Amino acid sequence: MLEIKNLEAGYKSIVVLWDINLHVNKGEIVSIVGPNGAGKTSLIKSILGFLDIKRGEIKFEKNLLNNLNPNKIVSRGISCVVEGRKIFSDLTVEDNLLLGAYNLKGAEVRNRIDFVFELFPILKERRKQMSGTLSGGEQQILAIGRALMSKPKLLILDEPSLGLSPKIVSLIYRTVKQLNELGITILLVEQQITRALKLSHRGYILETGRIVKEGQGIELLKDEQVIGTYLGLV
Amino acid sequence: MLIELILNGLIIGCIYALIAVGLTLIFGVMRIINMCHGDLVMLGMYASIILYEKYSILPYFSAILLQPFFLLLGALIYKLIDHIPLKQREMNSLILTLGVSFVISTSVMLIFSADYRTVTLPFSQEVLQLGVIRIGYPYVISSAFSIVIIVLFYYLIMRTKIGRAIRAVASDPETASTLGIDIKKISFLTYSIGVSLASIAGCIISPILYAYPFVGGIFIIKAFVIVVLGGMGSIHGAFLGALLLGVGESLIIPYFEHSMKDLFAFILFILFLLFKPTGIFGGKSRV
Repeated sequence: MLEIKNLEAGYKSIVVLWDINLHVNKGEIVSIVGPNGAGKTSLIKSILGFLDIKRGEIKFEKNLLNNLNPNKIVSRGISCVVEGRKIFSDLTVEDNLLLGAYNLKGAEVRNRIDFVFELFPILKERRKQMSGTLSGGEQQILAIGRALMSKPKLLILDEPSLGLSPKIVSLIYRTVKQLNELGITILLVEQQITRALKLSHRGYILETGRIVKEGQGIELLKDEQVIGTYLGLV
Repeated sequence: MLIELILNGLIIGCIYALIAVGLTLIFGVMRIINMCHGDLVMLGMYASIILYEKYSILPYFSAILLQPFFLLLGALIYKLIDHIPLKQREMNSLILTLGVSFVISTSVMLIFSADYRTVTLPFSQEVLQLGVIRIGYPYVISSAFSIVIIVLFYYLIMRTKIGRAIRAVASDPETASTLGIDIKKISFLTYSIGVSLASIAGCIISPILYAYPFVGGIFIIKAFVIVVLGGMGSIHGAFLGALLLGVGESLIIPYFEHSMKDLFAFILFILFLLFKPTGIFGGKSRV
């Protein structure tokens, strides 16, 4: 579904990602894990069209995404919950959700909002509230709900558990699993390596802008190098 | 007397609001200060004066009739701004729009000379008497007109899909684009709305204020004061700031010479910059 080949990307003249090869098959949950500053968010941003691509290609459903504007990429069926939630805090919960369905037409928008309200009843309860008054966890849920509004085929989540209580993190992971079962392909970026890899079909480990390892989710967790570097158990 | 002054101030404030709200919206979405905003008001004044003198079209109708012309002009100026790379836009657009401002105002001077002009309507001298309060008809009509436009504008921004997208882009353009919103399209729309509001303000103010080629300078400065009062980028702030400035100006007239009324804006401006530089709504709510 998503295929990245020999990608080299960066900001203007500075290259931050080297030789990235990655693919996500339809129906999978794939996670990209790695320490702070490894380039995880940069990788997501290059998929979304915010970085300058120097070499290589990014394809979604066989179509090249290189050099497309971010808004065009969303309309292809990719939706992203960006790092730090980035909800519009001075807009209501409902306005935020409606913005997620910007490219959809009337009746479909209603369908989507009903779907999201069913998934997250708390959002229905708070629909008229300013989003900035929500708690951190509720804001993250809103961000996920908003991303789902565009009826994505591929949902990208950038550090969805960052700074949230264990209870909310569990809810988010349960939801991710549920969405995947509904047929949405998931690309998950995480620092919480164990949790992400346990949930995923496959995983990639990113370090200083390069992919250093890839494999089945649970297999990666058994890898000695991974255990030594990330889990501090050796 | 006091009520009459306050009412007069509110009326002028409504028209100021039309100008300032466009300026603040353009700033909020495009992060540029549209220095030729006042000249668009001035052009509206001249255009409505000419249409009235030549064809006896009332300025209130001209305000609507002239929209295609102004939207085209706005699109032209937008094209110029759009040529500047995003990273250099904040400063360079200031200089560019200031240049456009000079071109517009000096062209008007070349064509129409620097004389003061106004529209004298058949009912210019008539007044509406409400108990002890007397207000000139041109003031009544202009304020009613601007209130209608403000309500329409408010509806557009707060209740429609386009308005939601405009607010989203003003609040966080990068996130807005990840939702599929075309930033360029929204910027262009915002600029057009701003230009449209400024030209309408110009048309309906022409029976009230004198027009001369450089009157735009006064409008841009006042609009700027209002925008700073309300907080850069805040629509609610711009409304409140406009009414505040209108009433404030009106209230000092009995105590000072009429020409001193513009001084009020500047004193208010300096006080706000010293003690509350973020404005009334600044830093809290954007657009």
